[in-house]
Amino acid sequence: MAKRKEKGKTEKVKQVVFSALLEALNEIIGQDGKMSVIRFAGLNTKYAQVRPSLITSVPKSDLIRLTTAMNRLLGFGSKALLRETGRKFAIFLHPYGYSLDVLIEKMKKWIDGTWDITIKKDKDGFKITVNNDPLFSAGYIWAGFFEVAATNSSPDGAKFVASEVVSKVEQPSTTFELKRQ
Amino acid sequence: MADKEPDFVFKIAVIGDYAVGKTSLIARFIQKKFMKEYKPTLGVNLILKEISFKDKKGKEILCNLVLWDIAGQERYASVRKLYYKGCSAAMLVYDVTRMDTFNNLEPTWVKDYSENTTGEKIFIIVGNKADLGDIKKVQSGQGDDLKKKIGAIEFVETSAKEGTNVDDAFLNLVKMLLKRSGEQV
Repeated sequence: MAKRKEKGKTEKVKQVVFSALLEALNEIIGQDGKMSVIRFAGLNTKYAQVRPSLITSVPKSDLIRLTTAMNRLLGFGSKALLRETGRKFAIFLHPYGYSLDVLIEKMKKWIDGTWDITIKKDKDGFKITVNNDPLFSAGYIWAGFFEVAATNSSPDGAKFVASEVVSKVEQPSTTFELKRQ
Repeated sequence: MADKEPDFVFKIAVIGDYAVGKTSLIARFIQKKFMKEYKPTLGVNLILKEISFKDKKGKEILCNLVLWDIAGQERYASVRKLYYKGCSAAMLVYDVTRMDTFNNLEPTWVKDYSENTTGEKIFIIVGNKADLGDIKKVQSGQGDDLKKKIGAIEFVETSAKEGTNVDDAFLNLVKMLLKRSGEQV
């Protein structure tokens, strides 16, 4: 019986992640823009009137619907807004800055599922791959997110800028390089 | 229609001073309704509209319009440049009863859009609130003159309140974009 319950378990995302993403949207495209994305994702009746502090987690499927809507509305013609939203997402999620390793550990705890972030370090920066990416349809969010995260956790205060993002559809993954400036 | 991949996707910026009726024009086009109360847009309103055309051979062409109804208030000026990226065209809207909203089109909105987009600049000029003819301050000839000056594809006077010319303004813009993409519509 316990096994059956485990099988049917809904994957969740901590509300801190979901709220930070909504705050980032609010910052970049304003209240009406944020509501446009929520409506387009079909989540308006669920989240328009709910104070995020009153929920501890949301279904992961809602995060996927939100980021899919972001990609369709914000990502056409240019990914600049998704990257910028990713930067703000990082700031709202960890305003005082975690080290990159700690942040990744936290993200993996905050978002359920069989996804993973791998980082390869070299002298010029990092190569980051998000496997089975939960934000796949709007993977450029990660580029902005890690630009801020890497810069914040840099011991010498170096700034990092992400390269072009490569997405693989077969096994949804997002890959990019962060170069030290 | 929603299940099919669109043949074309066009991102269109709807821009102009505050309270000229940008949101009302879109609401009339999309929902066929008019909002009596003015509610300033905070940031942007984003709307995706699927429309289809028949080409001259009768083949159906599916288009997705991503409409960016961009706040006219000054406080959004700094982030606005990001909103224009990837736009195919801009609808420049002024209020026919407020001369300043017309005078601002070229130095503010055409300039803002042109500086922050790449490629060909395609504009349509829309003089809204044409139903308020008795207090009209901007004459139609001035709209025509501006159209020639900036090389806009069309100038049209509309009334979001009464629905006059609203659909034509949007549809003619999309047809023009399709023609420039080589379609016979």
